[in-house]
Amino acid sequence: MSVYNIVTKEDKILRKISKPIPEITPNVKKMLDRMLETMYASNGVGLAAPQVGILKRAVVVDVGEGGPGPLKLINPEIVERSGVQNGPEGCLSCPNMWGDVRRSQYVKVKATNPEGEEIIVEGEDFLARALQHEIDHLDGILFIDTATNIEYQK
Amino acid sequence: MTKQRNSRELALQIVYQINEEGAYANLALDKALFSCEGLDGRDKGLITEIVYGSVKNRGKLDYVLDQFATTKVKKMDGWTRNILRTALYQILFLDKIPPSAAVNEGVKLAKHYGHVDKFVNAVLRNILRGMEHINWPDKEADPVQYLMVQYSFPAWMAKRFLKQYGLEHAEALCQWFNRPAALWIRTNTLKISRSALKAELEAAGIHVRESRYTPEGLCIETAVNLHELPAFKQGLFTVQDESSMLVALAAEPAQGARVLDVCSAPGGKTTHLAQLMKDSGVIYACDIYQHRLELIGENCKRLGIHNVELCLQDGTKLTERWQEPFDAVLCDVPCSGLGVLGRRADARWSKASENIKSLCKIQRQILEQAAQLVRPGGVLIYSTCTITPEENEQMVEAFLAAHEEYSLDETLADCWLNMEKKEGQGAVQFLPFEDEMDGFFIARMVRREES
Repeated sequence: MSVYNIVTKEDKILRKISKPIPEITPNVKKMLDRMLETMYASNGVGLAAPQVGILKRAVVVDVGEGGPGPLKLINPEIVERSGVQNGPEGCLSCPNMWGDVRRSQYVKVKATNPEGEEIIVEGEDFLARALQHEIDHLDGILFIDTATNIEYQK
Repeated sequence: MTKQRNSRELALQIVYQINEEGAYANLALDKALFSCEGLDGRDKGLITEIVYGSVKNRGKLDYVLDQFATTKVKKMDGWTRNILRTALYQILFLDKIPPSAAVNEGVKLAKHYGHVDKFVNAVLRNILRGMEHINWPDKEADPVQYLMVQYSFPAWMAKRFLKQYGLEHAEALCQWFNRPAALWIRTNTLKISRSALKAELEAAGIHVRESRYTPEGLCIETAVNLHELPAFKQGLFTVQDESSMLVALAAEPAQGARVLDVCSAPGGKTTHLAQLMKDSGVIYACDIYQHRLELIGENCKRLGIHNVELCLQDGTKLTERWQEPFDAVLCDVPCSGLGVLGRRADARWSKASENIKSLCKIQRQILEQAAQLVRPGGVLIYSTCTITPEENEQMVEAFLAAHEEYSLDETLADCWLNMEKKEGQGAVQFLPFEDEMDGFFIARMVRREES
């Protein structure tokens, strides 16, 4: 399977609102697989469809060790959140940039899986952070919009 | 989103390389920090602190671990013992990290590196609970163990320091080596005066203090990456310890002189000699490794020095290459380095007392060779960065006993500034607890004029 190109922060598409996915077609499933592939190839833990130039509400997340494994989420939305965490983040669309972002410590996400079933994903700490980061992408928000102590590396 | 950067995991990997695979602390750290993308200044600071701290304080850390773990540190698996060392270092030494965070991070790493999380968790929590009751060695009853544990030195060093200096001074010495080393630079007087360089650095927001003993030295009191300063790239200074600056000064080379620098890499003293000679005459700079010679070449280029000839040459075979005598020969010989143990975190653990004898042999060979290449009236400088009498006073005494054509120059202290307390000595041992600088030895010997 081939990987997508990841667009970077200068690309205006990252600032647009992504559209809901009304129906899970074979193409949608294929897109999710390719997104996951792309994310692994870039050493990432999360990727949203607009980051590969597709304005659809879909994200993939895999935080690795200690996490629930690869997640393919269609039309995800945060239905509950609590607590506060502040910590470093980076984004595959903002290469070599790092900054601290305040996030909820816990989130509950409602989404549809590729099989068309409604699922609930709950996450704390880093998983919660990754979910919030990716879902922000679907609304045209980048972590650098709210990050503090932003640092650039060559 | 990108992966989280885990400073502690990177720190652990570097500590493992140093403690288990014999990597050099500074090289391993530089390589890891350089190759790992996305580390910010705070991450780098924390990693550096954990790596250097865990390595340097290994003696104390292992002592505590052995009191609380059911398995001795020596018998543990390499990853396990280094996970425990880095975590315990954070608990005992880093106030800014909550002990519970250090434990949690250690346990996470233990899960990842060998499924020993239960063991690591138990040991670290035992220590947190029992910290008040750690059984420390008694200073008066067992001074060797006391130095080994409180200051983390191998037994043979602790014994040696005690025998040479007594408890009070041995302890002061250990404290000196555990203190962060001061950062010194030497003004390139071929390009700028010390006061002008000082003004330039201060304008860049860097605090500097002038050396008391040398006319070129400046102590840098602000944390800064010197190699990135414009002044560095322009060759206005070079990084060199204050004590090392005393060596070239002791040679007092005249302009136009012909000088031999026997063990010259990386060229700190060579380029200093060149400055003192106003880039005139010639300095033959020897080393036995080509890549080290290239460092000297680079330094000369940056500093604008042209009177240095690089020679790939074994210092114990000098007379195979040269017969014509020199005005000055400088022998900054390979040594045990026990005077500069604070400069590298792993230095104290990577040395062995058995090596001192073989070093003495090489030192004497170099001196014998050099002695044949000094003109009557010329000077022979012998220097080390160590504090063992075998390599220093005793070496010079034995040499002089065999060479009546040489005598110590008792005006040596006049080569330096404010060194009245060393007046009348032709061979000077600098000691941290007496001189507030690293342990160094310098002897200046003059070859008698032929009558």
